[in-house]
Amino acid sequence: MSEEGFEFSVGPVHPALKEPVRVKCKVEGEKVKDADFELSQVHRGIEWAGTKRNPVQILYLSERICGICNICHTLAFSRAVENIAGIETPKRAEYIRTLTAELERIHSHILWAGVAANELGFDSVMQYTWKTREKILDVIEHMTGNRITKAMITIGGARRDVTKEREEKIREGIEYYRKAYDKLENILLQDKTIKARTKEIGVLTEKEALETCAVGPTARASGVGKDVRKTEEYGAYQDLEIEPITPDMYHGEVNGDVYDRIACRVLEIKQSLDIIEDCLNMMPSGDIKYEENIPKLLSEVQGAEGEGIGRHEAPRGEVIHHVKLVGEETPESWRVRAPTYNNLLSWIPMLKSEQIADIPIIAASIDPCMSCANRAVVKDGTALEKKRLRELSRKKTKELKEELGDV
Amino acid sequence: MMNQEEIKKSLWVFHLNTGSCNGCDIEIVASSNPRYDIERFGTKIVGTPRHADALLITGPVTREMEKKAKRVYEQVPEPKLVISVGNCGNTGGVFYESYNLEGPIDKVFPVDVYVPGCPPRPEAIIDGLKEAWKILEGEEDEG
Amino acid sequence: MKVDEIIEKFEDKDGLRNIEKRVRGRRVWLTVDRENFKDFVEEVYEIQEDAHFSVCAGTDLGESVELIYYFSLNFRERHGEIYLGIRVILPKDDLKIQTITGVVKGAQISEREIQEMLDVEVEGTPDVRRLFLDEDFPEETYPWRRDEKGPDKIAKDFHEGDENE
Repeated sequence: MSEEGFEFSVGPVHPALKEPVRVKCKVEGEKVKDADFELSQVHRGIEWAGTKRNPVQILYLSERICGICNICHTLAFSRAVENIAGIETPKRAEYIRTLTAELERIHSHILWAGVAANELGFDSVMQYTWKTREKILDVIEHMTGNRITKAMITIGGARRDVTKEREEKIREGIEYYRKAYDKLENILLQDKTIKARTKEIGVLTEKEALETCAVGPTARASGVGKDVRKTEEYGAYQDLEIEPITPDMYHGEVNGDVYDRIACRVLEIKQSLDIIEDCLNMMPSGDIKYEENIPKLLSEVQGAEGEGIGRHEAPRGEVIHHVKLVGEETPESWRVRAPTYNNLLSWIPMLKSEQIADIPIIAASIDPCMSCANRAVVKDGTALEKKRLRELSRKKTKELKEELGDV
Repeated sequence: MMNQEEIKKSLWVFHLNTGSCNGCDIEIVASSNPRYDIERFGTKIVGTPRHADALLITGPVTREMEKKAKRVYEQVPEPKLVISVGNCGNTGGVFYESYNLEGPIDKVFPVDVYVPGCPPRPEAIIDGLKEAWKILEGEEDEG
Repeated sequence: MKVDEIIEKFEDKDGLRNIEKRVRGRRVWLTVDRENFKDFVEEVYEIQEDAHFSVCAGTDLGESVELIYYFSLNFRERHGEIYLGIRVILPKDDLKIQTITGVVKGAQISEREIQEMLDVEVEGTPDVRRLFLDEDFPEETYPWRRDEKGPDKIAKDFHEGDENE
């Protein structure tokens, strides 16, 4: 490899991330000097399609913005419309929505842990975490009928109730995860090699996090306590005292590195288990929908005028939907801002001065979800092809393991 | 029902995302976890198209990914198959009208097997792989 | 910090004239002139040094284009976050606005987006490249516009030509 700088790009088709994105990096020797990214591979024109459909149809469209975090988009959209039309959701429905959102958070964080382990070369950790994740998918399937796209939320309420049977299944799931939690925490946060690979790598300082307007665990790991569940009154969160999770709750310091981001997500799994249990214990009785009859609901929403914002704390950060209704069949404007949109800029300060072999784990540490960011770099130097980057990352882990005497 | 002796060769697949929401992609990866375990059939999700027998394509093809996907298709050696996973790839799904999409997958590539669902369960994906075996090993499915 | 205090800070300052103000709970919308826009944004950052910039929502209103920049203040206080939307209306024959990346770096992505989606020229922004649209996307076609420059002419319907099967 020459000592002068050269550029190489990874993607958009690559085995590292499950989604197409191109990351371009300028490198000198083994260190990254500058980074850039190119989106545009997943832009499907969702906001445009939304302006041709009525609000209930938009619910189904918004679910498919992202397969992993689909409750957040429907919830944010519903809240925006309810805000404009002045619709009050019944209390029981708020609790059910919160419950489903937290189930999704657990699923998303465990999925991310498996992907991160895969980037590092710990295939057995990936298989273990994805096997552990199957239990939460069983619970979700029992409650909603599907593993991934849940379709639980409607404007003014929730579509399905939590019956006695479903409640038992959820409690069973919580028991299972409380037992599995210690092992998960041990594997992900106490392992010597993982610590060596992730401590002091990909650091995002508090100042950089505030400047790039990062959100979610990416910002919280750097000490910026942004959490919509604390600051907005919605769902069951307003009755619970949610504190944003920062890494000093685990090990007493805030470094803003990849290890801290793993710590934040693992602690959030525990927080979610507590929230789900509280929701089940405190669930009020009553209706679950503002209006059962869909055509009646639709005509009420379509008669409303004004603009509104709906926000929610997704597993990746803050999700905002801005909707403008003008009393017609379709909205005048619908704007979706997913959390990855804000977090992408934080790749640049994180990747500078890091080694090439660390690029996959740093890129994965913000939990990027390109399909969310894209609704509407390493330039090719040929010496480094797409697969090679992941191989480099796994090789580094192997060498470290031998050094540390890990079996 | 296929018996294990009937599988003569193992089917290696390459997963290609042409702009999907990720739902189908995580179900494809989930099918290789210990519960569904496609590796017991000898199927592997490989890291390069040059080693693959079949392409598992998800997503409605976006304008930019069309060119990249065609290059990937050309890199897969013959005999090859295309398996279209998910409603977006089959017919467009909820994205049936857009200004940035080139069309359902069969407008861009010749598709051999369609796996419907939004997203399809891992069992459905395994069923799609079974159809793919049958085609590659010379038995046409009349059903 | 309460909503009234913040609105007062804007009304007190000379030269910060807002045309219209709307308040709903802890959400505030202020409509301002294009000339005063950057001063308003700087005032937001005077009120809170690390305010959070969320998103810029743009809509084509027919004769003009409306841009709303959303900021969040007080995000560390329980049930106390104040959401502020600064709205600017630009006439279609003069779609220009000043950049705010000097005040908040994280606005870079939003500014790239409104440039490619609405054909708004953001004066002084460091990056004018396309973001969500690929390089072969037709020129002079802007996805959020509803007039002749909109994307309707290149839109495809996959079910076109489907007979009753």
